[in-house]
Amino acid sequence: MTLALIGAVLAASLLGSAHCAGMCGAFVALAVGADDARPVPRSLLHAAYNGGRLATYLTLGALAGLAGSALDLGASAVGVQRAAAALAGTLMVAFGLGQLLRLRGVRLPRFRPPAPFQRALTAAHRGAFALPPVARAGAIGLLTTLLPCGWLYAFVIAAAGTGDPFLGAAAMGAFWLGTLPMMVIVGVGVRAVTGPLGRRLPVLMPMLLVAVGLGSVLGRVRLPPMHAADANVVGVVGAIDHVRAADQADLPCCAGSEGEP
Amino acid sequence: MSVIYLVLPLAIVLAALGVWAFIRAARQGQFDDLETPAARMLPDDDPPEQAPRS
Amino acid sequence: MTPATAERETARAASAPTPPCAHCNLPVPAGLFEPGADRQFCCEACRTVYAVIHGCGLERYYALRDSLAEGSGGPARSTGAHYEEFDDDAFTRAFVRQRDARLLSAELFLEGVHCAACVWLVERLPRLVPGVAEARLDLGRSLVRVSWEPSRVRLSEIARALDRLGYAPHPARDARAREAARREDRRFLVRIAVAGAIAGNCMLLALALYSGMVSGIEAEFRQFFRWISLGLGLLSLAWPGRVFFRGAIASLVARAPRLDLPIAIGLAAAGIVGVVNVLRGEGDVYFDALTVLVFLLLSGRWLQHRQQRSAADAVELLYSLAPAWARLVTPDGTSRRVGAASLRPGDTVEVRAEETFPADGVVESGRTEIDASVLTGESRPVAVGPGDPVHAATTSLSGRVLVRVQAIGAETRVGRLMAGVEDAARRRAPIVALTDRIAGWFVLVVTTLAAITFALWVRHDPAKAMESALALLIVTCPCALGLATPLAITAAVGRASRRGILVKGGAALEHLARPGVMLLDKTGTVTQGRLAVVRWEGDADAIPLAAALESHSSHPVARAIVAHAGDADTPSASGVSQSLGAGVRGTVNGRLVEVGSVSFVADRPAWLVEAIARAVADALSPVVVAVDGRAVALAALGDPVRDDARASIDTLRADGWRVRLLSGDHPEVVRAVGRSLGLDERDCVGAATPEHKLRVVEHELSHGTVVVVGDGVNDAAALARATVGVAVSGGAEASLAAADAYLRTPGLAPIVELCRGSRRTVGVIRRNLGASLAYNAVAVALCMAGLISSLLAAVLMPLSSLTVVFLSYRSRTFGGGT
Repeated sequence: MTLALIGAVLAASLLGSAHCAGMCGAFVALAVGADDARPVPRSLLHAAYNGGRLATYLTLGALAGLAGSALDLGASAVGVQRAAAALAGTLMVAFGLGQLLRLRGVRLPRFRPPAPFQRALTAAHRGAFALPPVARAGAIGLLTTLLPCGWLYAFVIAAAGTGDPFLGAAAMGAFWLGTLPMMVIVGVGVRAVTGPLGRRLPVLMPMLLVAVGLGSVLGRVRLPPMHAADANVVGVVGAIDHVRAADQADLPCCAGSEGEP
Repeated sequence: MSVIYLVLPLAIVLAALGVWAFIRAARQGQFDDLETPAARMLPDDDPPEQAPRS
Repeated sequence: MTPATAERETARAASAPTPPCAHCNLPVPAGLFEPGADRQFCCEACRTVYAVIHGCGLERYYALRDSLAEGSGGPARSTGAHYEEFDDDAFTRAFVRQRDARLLSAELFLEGVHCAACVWLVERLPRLVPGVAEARLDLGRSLVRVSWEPSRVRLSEIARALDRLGYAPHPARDARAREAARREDRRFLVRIAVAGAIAGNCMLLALALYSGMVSGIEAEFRQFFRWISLGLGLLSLAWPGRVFFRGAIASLVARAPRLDLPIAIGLAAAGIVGVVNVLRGEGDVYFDALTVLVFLLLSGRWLQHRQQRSAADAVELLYSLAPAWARLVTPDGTSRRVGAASLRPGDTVEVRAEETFPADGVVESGRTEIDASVLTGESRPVAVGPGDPVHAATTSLSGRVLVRVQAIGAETRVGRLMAGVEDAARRRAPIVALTDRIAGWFVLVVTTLAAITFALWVRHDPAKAMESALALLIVTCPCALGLATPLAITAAVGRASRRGILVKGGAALEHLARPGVMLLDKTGTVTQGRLAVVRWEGDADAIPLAAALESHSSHPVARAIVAHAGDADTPSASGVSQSLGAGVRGTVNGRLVEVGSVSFVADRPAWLVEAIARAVADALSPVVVAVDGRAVALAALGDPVRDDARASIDTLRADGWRVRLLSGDHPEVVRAVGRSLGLDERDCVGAATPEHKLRVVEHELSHGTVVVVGDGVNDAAALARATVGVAVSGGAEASLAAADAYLRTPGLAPIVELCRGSRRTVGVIRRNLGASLAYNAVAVALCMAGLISSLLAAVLMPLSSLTVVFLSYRSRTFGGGT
């Protein structure tokens, strides 16, 4: 199951990464841009930038997985199983549907990052641009994760849905892998890359989100009813035992997928 | 194991088919210019009105 | 607002195209569209990034991105020419082909083609110009092939349409040579494909055989695999590998050991051992190593070949940019544009200001000054009038003249010069590349060692003697020579071309690595090649007055003075009258202003006489400015030395080059420039005709390497004759054809980079050779001792190639600082 989720994340991020090209193309260009005074191999700069991105993605994924596991633990205490996966899936579907509605012209409330955050981000980037080339590329990569990108955070939610720090990190690793090709070729020219796909992208992305979200909800929710029924019977007292049992039941699958990535 | 007497020549015939296809393509000039076709596919046939440059 | 109207609003918003996101250019969802806002964003992240980018003062990114995507460095530039000569009979015969019963086709070089948008725009030609059937652009070569219906459209209309799009077309010469090159490329690719497929299959079989050795294999299958390997290996030798044998035979016939010879010996030895062992049913077969080697060697050659061709193509584009047309005066007195090739002696042509003479001839009427620097290197304009001879390729500067044609094409002075160039190129000692020089020794040493091995062993063990000798031949296959050297050169040539230095062949790099004599042309190479005010003595307030007067003229002196005034507000002049070759007179702000030669102004105070003497001593042309009859200032004009000349020449001399100036200009001018560059007077040769330059080069050649750097036709023969000829930016086409390297950026700094990059490249090649030599020495010793098993030989052979390939690609040659 988890392997399938990670696969889905990989596929979705690969398809939707044209958005990243448009969004972060500026930063890629600034990170790997030629510095005639001190020539540094481009490949090294790409590695630094994407390495920075990977580091923060993995951290974020692990944290999200941790939060998800905490949620799972708390929810199972009140008798609800796999709460994180269900919640994450629902959120992703809702987010995707919301985007689709916006495309149809429906006005929905939106989250706007507070101005101090934006100022801090600007200051951080200004600091990053002043660094020597390789450090600059790495720092920009690290900062990329802080951008309030709905697409990125939809996948952080997916990572939380795994309910496990390692799997969360793995999911974000898959997201990183999926966006990698686009981030590397983006130097070629942002619009040239996004051109043919660009017009369909706003529709494609929410649909991918809905698909991954549904996969997360359905794939995870199918097993639990049995456990959920048990939990109702056993009640709060047996919750801890039950979590352990559930972990046992899940072992072959999880163990397999933990080994994979 | 003696199936190898059939399979190996078959594999070589398949490889030869691949090479033949490549040679045909090369002789038709499909590899003359490796740069332009990549650029040719990028723009749509009827691109939307270009946004004014900011 | 009723629900119905709200719904309509929604529908309209959804259907109407929303403007793209200000940051990422993707469409903005209608639900996020903010009416009345300056910028629309598709998501909060884009809004934030936009703010961050602006907050960091990096708005430039957006302009850069758009220019990358659109590919237009600036506004489309159209020359507005009419291209009537494209419909000429002579032009049609030379450049137009009948494609089929209905269509004609031609190949045109386009200026300014560089990106995907260009492809799209140019290939839309059939929609823009009715009657055009097809337009296919080759981005790498800036070459478009158009097909059209002659009954519906003329080539000149197509050319005008291309010109309007900003791609000025030029006829592409040598269509036949290009077609031949294309066919050669295809044959090359086919060979590589066949070699690759065979190598892959042989490796698979070898894998089965090797694992069979470990885990056991029935003899029956083992022999079957070996027979199939034999078939594939011999096919590889006979088809793609044939080029090496052919080359080897040719080198034997020519008695010049070339690289193909040792390769062919190695391949043949491996093949023979393989065949013998398959027939014997024991011992090792080398067909896996052998087929991989053929594949790798061919790939290396292909890379080198392609790189050299792309440099040649780029030069070819520049080569075709020279005007190939003339204004023919018809009996009724009007003139029309025709191809220069269709002119006949006795025709009369009109040449306007700033146009190039299409043929040699005599001025019939009109007066002008001509810039003959392309032929003579003389930077000062020469006045001509009726009866004076003019030459093709020189430029008329100021007036309109009618010229009676006396010689065209190859008969003109420039044509004869070109013939001289070809002759000089033929007589040039063929450059023996480093690898080819070593190859001879390599063959000699390896075959000798093999013979010694055989002789040593034959008394003890005849079978082992044969095997050890053959193993030696196989193991010592010169991969470093055949593969790594081409790769190192290819990588260097590629890097150089990205730095604006086009190198036509690897041999040039090898020669530039060792310092010798460098002969620099003055005009356009060391200097900027145009007249400018070097010194202004006297009243600076007179500058705008002089500029006002001179803005009415396009004479080089006038342009230099206008440029000297810069952007300052110039008053307007009235009643301007020019007397050719002497000066200009007119009224500016109610005062009589005169600008002209020393004799043009009558007033001559003492300070002016001194200033004139100083200017003459520095080989500058004095121009006197007088206001109301009183001389107020002296402009000393000359061809200014490039900013980077002094530093570059110092660097070159520090690197061991002996730098000399060789120019057709006045000796005193050349000496003055040489003095400012810190060169000895003996190293400044002036008044050199093209023939004289050639003699100097030949004299220097007897002492060693001679590098000639120049730009004009007058340098072409010297460029061709020199060990290495380097043409600089803006040069005449003849110099491009004759040169081994072309510098796209003006100035002398690229020459320094070229020399240093060459040195680093040769360093890489030496390192490769050293590594390979060490490997070979060890392998030879082991073979002679009879210690190398044939299996080890088969593994070592490709392994050593991969090592040197890695070494040569890792190295930084051009653009890596100094």
